[in-house]
Amino acid sequence: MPGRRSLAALRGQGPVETGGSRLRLAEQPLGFWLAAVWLAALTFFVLLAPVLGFVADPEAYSRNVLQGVGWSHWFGTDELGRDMFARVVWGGRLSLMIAAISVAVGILIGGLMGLLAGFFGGWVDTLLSAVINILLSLPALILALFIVTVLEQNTRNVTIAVTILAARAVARIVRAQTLRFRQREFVTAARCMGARTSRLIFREVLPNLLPIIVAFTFLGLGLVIVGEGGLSFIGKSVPAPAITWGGILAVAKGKLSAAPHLTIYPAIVMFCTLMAVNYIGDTLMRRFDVRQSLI
Amino acid sequence: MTFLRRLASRLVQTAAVVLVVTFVTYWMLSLLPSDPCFLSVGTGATEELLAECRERLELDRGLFAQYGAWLGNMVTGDLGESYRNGIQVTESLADKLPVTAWLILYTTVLSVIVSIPLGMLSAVRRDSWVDRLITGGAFSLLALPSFVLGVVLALVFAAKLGWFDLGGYVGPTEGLLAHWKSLVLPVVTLTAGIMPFFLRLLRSDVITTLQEDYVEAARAKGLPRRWILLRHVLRPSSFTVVTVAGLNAAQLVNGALVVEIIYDLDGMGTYLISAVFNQDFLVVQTLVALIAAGFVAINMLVDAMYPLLDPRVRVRNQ
Amino acid sequence: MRAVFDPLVIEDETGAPQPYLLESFEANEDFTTWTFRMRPGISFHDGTPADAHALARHFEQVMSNPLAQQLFNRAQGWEVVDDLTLDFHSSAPFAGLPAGMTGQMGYLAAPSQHDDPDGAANPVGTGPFVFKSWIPDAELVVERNPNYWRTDAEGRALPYLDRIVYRPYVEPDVRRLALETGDITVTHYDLGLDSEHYRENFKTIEEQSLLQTLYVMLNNARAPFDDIRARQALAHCTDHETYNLLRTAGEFDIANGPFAPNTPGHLPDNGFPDYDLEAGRALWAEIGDPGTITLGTTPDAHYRIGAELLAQMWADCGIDVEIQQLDQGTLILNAVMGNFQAAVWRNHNGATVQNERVWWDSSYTGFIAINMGRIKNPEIDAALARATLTDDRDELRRIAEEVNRALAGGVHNIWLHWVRWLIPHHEDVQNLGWITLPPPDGRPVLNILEGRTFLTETWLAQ
Repeated sequence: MPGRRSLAALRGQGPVETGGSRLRLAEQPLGFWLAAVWLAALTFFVLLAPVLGFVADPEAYSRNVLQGVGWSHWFGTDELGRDMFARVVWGGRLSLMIAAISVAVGILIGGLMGLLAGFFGGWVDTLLSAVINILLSLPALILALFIVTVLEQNTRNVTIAVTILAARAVARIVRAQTLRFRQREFVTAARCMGARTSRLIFREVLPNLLPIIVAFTFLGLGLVIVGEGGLSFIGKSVPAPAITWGGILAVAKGKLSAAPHLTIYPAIVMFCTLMAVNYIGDTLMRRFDVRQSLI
Repeated sequence: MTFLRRLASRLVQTAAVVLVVTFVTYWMLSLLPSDPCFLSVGTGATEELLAECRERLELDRGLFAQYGAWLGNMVTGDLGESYRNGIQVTESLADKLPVTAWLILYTTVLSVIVSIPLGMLSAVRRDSWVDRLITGGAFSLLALPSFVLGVVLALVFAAKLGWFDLGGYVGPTEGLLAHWKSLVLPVVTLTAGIMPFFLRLLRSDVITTLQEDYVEAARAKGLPRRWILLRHVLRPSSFTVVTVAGLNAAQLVNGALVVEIIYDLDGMGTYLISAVFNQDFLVVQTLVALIAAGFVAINMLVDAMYPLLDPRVRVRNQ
Repeated sequence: MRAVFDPLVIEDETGAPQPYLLESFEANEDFTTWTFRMRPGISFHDGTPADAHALARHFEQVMSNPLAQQLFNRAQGWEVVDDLTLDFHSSAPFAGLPAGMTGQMGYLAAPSQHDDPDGAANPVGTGPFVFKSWIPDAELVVERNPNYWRTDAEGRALPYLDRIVYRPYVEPDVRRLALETGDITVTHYDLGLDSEHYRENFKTIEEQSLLQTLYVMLNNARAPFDDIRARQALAHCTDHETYNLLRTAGEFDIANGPFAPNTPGHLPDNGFPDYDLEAGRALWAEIGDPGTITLGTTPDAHYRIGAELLAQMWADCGIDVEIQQLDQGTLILNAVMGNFQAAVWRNHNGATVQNERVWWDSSYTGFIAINMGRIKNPEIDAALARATLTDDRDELRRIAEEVNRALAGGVHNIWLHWVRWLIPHHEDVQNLGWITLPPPDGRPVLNILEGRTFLTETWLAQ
């Protein structure tokens, strides 16, 4: 074990000790299972919201305004008498859909960029690294805000904006990891045996990257949920009347003292979700012994 | 010598990144179907006034020429003026930059003050229940983005308990106490967002240092435990703190943007967002350029200074 | 700004213009020349006389503003007759000129302010308070004008207050907290929802006449609302009662047009389409699918929620809506340029129909239009044209009623409710708001107008 981490390690470019350490589910601590159950339940509600009878129409207004928590309205109602539980579920539907798509696409694009840059080095690396560095030159929220400002404000473009957030993070990590593997014995050996480049990349390097990509999937979800949430809190995510988590909180902010339940329950749901993805991601990272400071 | 060369090449890289970022943002904003002259002339516009304005702003020149002129102005300190209300950007910055600067300064100081004892404690009592409590708590904070925590803190401490009001920023010249009071909740919100990074790294840093030979040696010499911790453990770790502070600049800017909205602080974040909602794109462009430049510069400095600051890394590199 | 400036003309509770800083205004037979007479002995805060020369300088300044050029497009010129008298000539009858001088155009600023390139940031007027300092978005401070020209009925110098600090609070909740904690002593409120709370906890005064109207302004020149059926459908699909109940706690009266009760032109029934989901749906289906409608509003939560409610009501009718939140300035700019479909708006105090000409007359629908809704209705044009020929209040009322009916018939906008401002204040604030006309009339006329109040005759109990 190196006595001292390098700067690279602080940024998530540290040494990886893969090899034998596999993830054994049975050995996971309780927290891991709690997190998994929360995510499963959330996915269930969010995916099935339209067919679950007890999830109300999130847009239906009524004269029962600002009702507290109760049997008929689990999270109470808002200023228009709309069911807050339904709004949180449907807000999650949009926010999580955007998050899922952007993490998937972000890993694809960012992973490819990092892989190519790290594997080929030379001018490919110079070029791709420049692109990555440029994307990294702005704080996440500012970058996303800028992209949404320049493009039209709609679901697709918000997804594009947060995809870039995910992609730039993946690209950086994958490049660093690839750089390490490129010099490993097994890659050198394969190269000496005359393996083609594509084989080297996809059969030798990529499988070794998979653990970190899996771990990033969760941490990346956290990253983009916060990114999209920040955008919609500012009012620059998918425009109303579409429901997003950040948007729910932004509107509730105006009613803090009169109706705290409008803030509390969405905040708890968001907290649990972020906690769950962070926890799982972090556990996986540690399992794979990836030194990182990603989140 | 190697350090200077490294610094020089870093400088060139940084300048290149800033140049490309500002150009790309300039180009993208210029593609928008918004006419700065409409903003500039406003509701009283006539065809003649618009034409005159377009001439004045030289909008018919090519993209590169416009960008060049803008960049030239930026470099010479002329940040231009808002198309919307004609107020100089430098003038607005003079009002708004201090708000954000105080916010960031206090947050960094508070994060350091809080995370050093907690990080040390956590490391020294590694794997004890104290350690688990501290690291677990810090980890939970990571799941509270500033727009969630900020709103909840505002709810509890301002709306419910009434300890603080949400009346916006008070400058230090109007009374230090009022100044601090106006920034307590925003700073706590921001601190919660970055303190975990400090804590986490300090902890692992201290754990590593505790295993170093010279610490063992000091211990063998029978030096008091507290002395060892302060002299031999904390001092090298302070480099880590500096580094993390630099690396978390981005996180802070993100947070400041949101926190300023929640607590109605008239700083850079509110400025940027209102420029966005106002379609005042020159201001957007200028602010984004400034943020990018500042951010890239900080990263560069941290990168370049790191080996210089920590003697151990310097030794190993030789 | 009413503290620093005196309006040349002020509207009374019936909307009729009355001279305020002016001693009198008088027109010739056909309203092509107005004679304005200034009061003797009044000076600006900088000591220069507020006379006819200053008035001429003021008009000069006003006319350099393109917007005002449109408002005063009939103006031909003016001449200073003597130190206190100015004749204002227009190319066509302009009976509405005094009424047009009740608003911003009538705030008489000193020549020194007009000459100062930073004049807008250093206002110099004749008003009861002298401008002291201004920090944008933070604080405006004014102090008592020791040389103010008005006295109270007992001959004591006005104003009574020594100093006023204005602080902007964007969030209504924050404003309420500030009043509760005593950070501020007076505020104003126009959303209805908390009105009851304010009445229970504070002393309040409420606006009584010349209420503004909240409405959805439609772009009558752009698809789909260039088609009257689309506008009718939208009106039928808007459940005014629910909107009013949910967004104002039922505090305000539901509007059927821009003329609130107590304003000349108000009609209990003007023929504006009722809430009728079926009819609305049928009409909307008839025009085919025009795609998603964009509804513009400001970025604050209150209006966003209101817009969401409207969006849902219309969605129930089969109308797809997207909400666009923009800063007020940008919203106005887009509206002026016709770059919108529908937007939530507040305007029209209905004081006198002459003042509304610029908003509704088809001649103001050019490239940059003050008639932002691009209303082109011959009946309205004809009525408004007649309004420029008379200052007879009965005749003006009849004209206003005609305009009211025509606006309802053409469904040019979707009217929501009449906004009644409420001014909650601490116990010790006395005689808030009421402004009396200068002698000889001397009667109290207004307490609040469009949320702004006069503090000229207010005092604090010890």
